[in-house]
Amino acid sequence: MSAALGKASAIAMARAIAAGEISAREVLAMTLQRIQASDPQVNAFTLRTWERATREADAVDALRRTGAVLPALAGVPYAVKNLFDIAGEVTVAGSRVHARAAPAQDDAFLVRQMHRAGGVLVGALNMDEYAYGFTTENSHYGATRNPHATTRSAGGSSGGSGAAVAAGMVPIALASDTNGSIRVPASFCGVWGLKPTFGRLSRSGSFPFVHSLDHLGPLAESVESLALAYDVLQGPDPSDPGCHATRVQAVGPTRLFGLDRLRVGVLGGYFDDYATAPARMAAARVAHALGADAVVQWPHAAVARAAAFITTASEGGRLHLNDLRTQQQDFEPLSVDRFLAGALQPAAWLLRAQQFRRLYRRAVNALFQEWDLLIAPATPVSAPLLGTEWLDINGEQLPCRASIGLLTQPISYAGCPVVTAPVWPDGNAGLPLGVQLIAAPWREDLALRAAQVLQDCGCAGTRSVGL
Amino acid sequence: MAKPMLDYVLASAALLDVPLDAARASAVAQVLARTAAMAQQLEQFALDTQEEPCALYCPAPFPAGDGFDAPDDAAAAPGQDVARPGVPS
Repeated sequence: MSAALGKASAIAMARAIAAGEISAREVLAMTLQRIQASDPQVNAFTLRTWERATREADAVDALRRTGAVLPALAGVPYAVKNLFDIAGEVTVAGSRVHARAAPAQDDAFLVRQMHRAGGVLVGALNMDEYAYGFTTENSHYGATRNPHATTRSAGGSSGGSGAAVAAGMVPIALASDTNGSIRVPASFCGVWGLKPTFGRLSRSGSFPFVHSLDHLGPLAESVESLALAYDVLQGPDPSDPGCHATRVQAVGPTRLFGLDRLRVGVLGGYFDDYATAPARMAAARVAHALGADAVVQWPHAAVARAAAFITTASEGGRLHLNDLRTQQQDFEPLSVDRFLAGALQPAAWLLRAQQFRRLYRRAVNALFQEWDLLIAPATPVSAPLLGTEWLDINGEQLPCRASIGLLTQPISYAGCPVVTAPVWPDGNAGLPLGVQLIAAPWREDLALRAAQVLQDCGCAGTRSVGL
Repeated sequence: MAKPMLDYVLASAALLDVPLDAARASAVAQVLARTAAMAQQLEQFALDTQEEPCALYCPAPFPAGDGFDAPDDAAAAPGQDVARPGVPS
């Protein structure tokens, strides 16, 4: 087994370890070497849990020596956004305020799921403070830089997760997505991302941002790894009142079914208006590969984005109200004004948004009576330079940090599952741009089937970086 | 910044016991003004008074059976309760 395995897929690693071609400890050593070489240029990691990783890798090797069947991710290194609880470590959630909190007593639910599956946790990853951002320009822990162009943003708020996978430091990373925080880094960093249905995966043991919108999910270097991680993460959890799924619906058996009779459309209107030329090109390429030529109108997209914005501000601001009173000076300068404004928002705005959301759900679910899968760019633009304040989107000047989520927010407000496929538009300076594969609630399987088709035909996929 | 918005920020911050200096209050009022424009979109959206706010959001009922549609020639029955996967072969 070559040293290149340090950048290999999760499945290749698991197979090699199970076959005895390499030990989990050896895979870990290569991974740590890779992190040490790459992370100084990227700044994805805020915490390294290498003692724990060594213990977990040794446990996998010990299990293999007994001849037992290994679990799905046995020996596969992974990392988590630093809002997941890791037993014995402080969950900082990108903040200085919570850096003073007590260490977590237990792992988050999803970290426990990864542990049960044999995953080897190597660390925690950078993010926008309290997940309120799309660029991972974190004043406390430094900006995470895009591995494909280190002067550019890795996206956010799960920028560390996207960058760690893109740089080949880990094949799988866990992250959260409230308004686009998995899909935006996947788009900017050129990796696969899955934002599952709202209520699919337990959020227990993760630091919240917006309870009524928070989703957790994986990013990965391939569709196979994404699907495998998703399957091991599933499981009902009564301790999360927002975890609506009552059983596992594994996608492993369905991922290879192809497009058989799937009705696939392309979102127009709002999703075209806020897409620049590379974003349109990426979506068109995916549409062509999936045989989709019908243009579909998503209901009430602009109003849904407004409602998502208001819900986020209000819930997020209220969550931190006590700290805004007493430790305001320690908040992220780039987002503290938004937290404060949210905390002061009139209740009437939030209630109106919640009222709209019920009607919106009906309209979106009705749309999926006619379509199985809908396509839209994940971001209006490719990764902007760090520090960019304004975006030009088809002649309209919009604030960069808020507008990166224009195309993701309406979808997550409906709670639909989305796979973000990494596409590489021509003439885009070698930068990727993600495309959302959107399915009806609880139909992650359909989005992953299409993702597999795109990967197999070469339309979408990850590319190695030269770090 | 329009005075009513700034007045609102200062008054509500005082009510909630959130300290704001003049510069911060002005910045917060600017953010809130942008949000107000979005709230206006929502206000203009036709909503029946009978439309209750959604409670704990659930995008759709979790399917009772196996919710997946498999092709006729599918080799495996998807969507059923399953054991956790082992190492892929």
